[in-house]
Amino acid sequence: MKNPWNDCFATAGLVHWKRIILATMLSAFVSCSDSQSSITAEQLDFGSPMRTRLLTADQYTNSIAQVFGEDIASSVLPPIPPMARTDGLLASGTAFVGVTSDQVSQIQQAAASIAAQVVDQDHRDFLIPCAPEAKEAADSSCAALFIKESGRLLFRRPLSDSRLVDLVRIADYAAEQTDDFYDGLSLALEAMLISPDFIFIVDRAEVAPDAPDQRRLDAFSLASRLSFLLWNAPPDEILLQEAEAGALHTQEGLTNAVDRMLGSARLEFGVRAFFDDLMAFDEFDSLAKDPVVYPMVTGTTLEHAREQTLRTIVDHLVDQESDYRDLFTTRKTFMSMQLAAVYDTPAGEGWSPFEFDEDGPRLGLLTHVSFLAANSHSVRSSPTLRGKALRETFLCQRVPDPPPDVDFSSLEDAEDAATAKERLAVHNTNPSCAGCHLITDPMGLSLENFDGAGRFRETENGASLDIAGELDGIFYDDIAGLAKATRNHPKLSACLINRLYAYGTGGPVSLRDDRDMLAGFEDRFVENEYKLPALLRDIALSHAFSHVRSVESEVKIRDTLRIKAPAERAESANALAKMEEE
Amino acid sequence: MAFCGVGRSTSGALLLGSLLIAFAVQADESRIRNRTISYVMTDLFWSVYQTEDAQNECPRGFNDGPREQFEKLFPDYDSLSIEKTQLAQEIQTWHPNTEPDDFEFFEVEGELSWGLNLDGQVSANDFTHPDGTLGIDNEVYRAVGCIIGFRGPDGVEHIFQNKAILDEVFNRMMIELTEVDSLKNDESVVITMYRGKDRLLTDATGQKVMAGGTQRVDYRWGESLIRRFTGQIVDGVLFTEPIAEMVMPWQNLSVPSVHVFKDARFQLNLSSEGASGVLAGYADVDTWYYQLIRNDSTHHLSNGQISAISLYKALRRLADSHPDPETGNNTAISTALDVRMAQVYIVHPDIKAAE
Repeated sequence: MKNPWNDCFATAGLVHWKRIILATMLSAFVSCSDSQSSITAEQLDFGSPMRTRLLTADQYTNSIAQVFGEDIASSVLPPIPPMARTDGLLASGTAFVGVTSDQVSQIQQAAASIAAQVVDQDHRDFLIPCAPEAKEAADSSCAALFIKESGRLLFRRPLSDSRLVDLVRIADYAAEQTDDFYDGLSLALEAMLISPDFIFIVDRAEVAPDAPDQRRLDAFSLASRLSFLLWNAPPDEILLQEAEAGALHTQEGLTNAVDRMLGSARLEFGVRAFFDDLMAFDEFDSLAKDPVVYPMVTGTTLEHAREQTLRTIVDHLVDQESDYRDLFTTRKTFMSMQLAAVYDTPAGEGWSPFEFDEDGPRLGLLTHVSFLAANSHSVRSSPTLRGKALRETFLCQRVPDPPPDVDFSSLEDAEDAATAKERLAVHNTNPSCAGCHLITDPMGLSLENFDGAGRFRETENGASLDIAGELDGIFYDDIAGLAKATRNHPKLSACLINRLYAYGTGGPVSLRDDRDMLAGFEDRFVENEYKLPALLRDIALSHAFSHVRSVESEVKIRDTLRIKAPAERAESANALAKMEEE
Repeated sequence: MAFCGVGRSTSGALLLGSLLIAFAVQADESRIRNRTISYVMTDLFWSVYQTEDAQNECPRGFNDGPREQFEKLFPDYDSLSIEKTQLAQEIQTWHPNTEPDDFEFFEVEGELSWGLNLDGQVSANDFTHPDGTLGIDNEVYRAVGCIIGFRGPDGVEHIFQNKAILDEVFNRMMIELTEVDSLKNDESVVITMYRGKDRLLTDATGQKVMAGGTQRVDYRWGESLIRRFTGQIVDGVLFTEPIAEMVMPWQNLSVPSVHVFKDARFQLNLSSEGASGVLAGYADVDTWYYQLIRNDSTHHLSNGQISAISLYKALRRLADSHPDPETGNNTAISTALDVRMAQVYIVHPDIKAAE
């Protein structure tokens, strides 16, 4: 899908050059997304696209854990293929991912393993709500009871009668063939676990009774959308009951359900999952630092760096309900003993609250080891990667990839340069480089007091560091200035809203269709003092979140339920992209 | 406060290199926080002055170990009972005496040794430091210098104690320097020894200890090990006053044990990254000996050619301090240990910090 924000960015880049670009970028962006000051009646008619999206690996694990327990969930690797990061989120790629026959095979293997454990002697007594009359024979009534209950939880909606009959028939047939009731039940469960109804989160719509010209998500689709947004897990029993009772289609019922979920301790898991995705922390799974250059950075260090930032975010946004923007200036965080060495500071046992020195260089997420180390090379820092990450992750701006024929010779000739700033200065003399580097390097260079592992340094190769810089027209002298400029950047809140709405609805936003609605969310976000729970509540209770945009969308997306050949998948992806553009 | 002698300055190119690095970064005092800097012990082994072919210190060769002595004592052991052979030797190991045995014990005959002048005197029995300083007291070296197991880099005593420090939290000893104004020169600093209770911070290999880790003080099992004393820093070297009695945890091969050092003192080159130098004093002979035989099985003693029976007699014979009031026999023996430490942040429990 073409992102209108990218068009704005590209246009601005063509019109202006070098530093002028930076100075005028801010106004260019503002003009690209006129915000409305209040939610109009017209906005109430907004709907979101219907999507069918693949469970993420975490959602798969959380689903199994919720239905069958943590021990079984942790015993299998989630058989979910890698997602393509789309418009800044892996979650937005889940609606565009294909499943190959090999991956189907892996899904089947995981299903078989899970099913075998559920019916084994260690688990059957508390996971299966009945006992067969004879273990060596089929027992339709007991099988039906188990399949009906577990199927409802796995599919996130009740099984149809015909589906139930089919699955019981599978269980009975297999039990007769193997002379074992539990083997038969295991096969029926395996069939449920490889079903698209489990593996995919499918939006289903219906005509809204009180507004026949509008289509709304059915209650179970809405329940799934809510629970995966707020908890990163399938609906629990209460939410399913509320869906069955029709409560989610009343304002009061929906409000009560959302408020219950926002008040649950499980909200932390939802918030962690969103920011883990937003900040591309999946890259930590393969992140490595050269042990010769950064001997104190181990796998544990990096794992704790990721955890530190997520703990900070959850505490700041959920526990304290503080201003989202202050995440970029707060000195409050958490520290572990393993991570403390990188920060060159003592730490207590386990994880404990920690506050960076008031006069020190650390404040806000940009100075966390997670951001600094993840956006560096394995042997050195990278102002370009850091600047790019700042713009793309937190401001939703897109920095173009380098051209395929980029000439690195002038950069390589600058090997004698002591600092990154001197090395990167060559970009300013090459117009084909300057266009992009001038929008990434200035703010990245302001973080050069931190090496590639995120450790503080006064100098680089003995040379002092000039960290003064500029972010979209805001000039500053030090790291605190960059943190403040980021905190006050007019696109910071809009970007969070953009990503959060995309995350919740399973795909990238369309700024043509969603722009005014997003602006309405932003106005409310400002009114609510930039508090994340309030924003989540607004999104979850919004008309757009529970309604769909067009019948045409539904028909097209339903096709994705079928597993397709690669060529057909490519065609399908193109069609989806085209549909998004439309 | 008297500071006698000098510590061991180098031991080959590696140590020289590390010291040069240490001196090079000495000016960096960024890790002094609230006039405090701390170090955790990473290496500790007996100072043994070695020449390449050992001809200078051991011209008559190395001492026999249990296997060699057994062969000589019982050439016809097949015809003898276990009670009169193996068990007889084990009884002597665990109940040693000072009566001479039939084996000539090779003491160090060279004049040079690492260590400090502990008694402030220069006598005929003293060694000379390789840098020319006279009056070095190190009779443990005289006893063990010609025993293969105590010589580096492959001797069992040399290898296992350092490995134990890395592996065993039991051995986690630290010094905290307070009232520090400079790591270059400071007329008076206060040093407190603590036991820590955390693993050492290492690099990705798990072997190289890094500066900048954190250690919590073990006030429960380590309170009896706390010692507080004073010192001064001169040209980047910390000299401490003698500590009346220092107990050093010495777990090895999973067997907990200790050493007791009397009138012990540190002499350490300091940097913001670490400290290295010497710990010297008088080791309690019985504690020293029982640590050896408790921690080292017959296998290790045999591998290192360490005859505990003969060594005990030598230690008693060479003991040079702290005479027993009743018998007049010396109970302690001068010694020196190479020590290296890495800078660490020490965390005190809130209640102790308040105190």
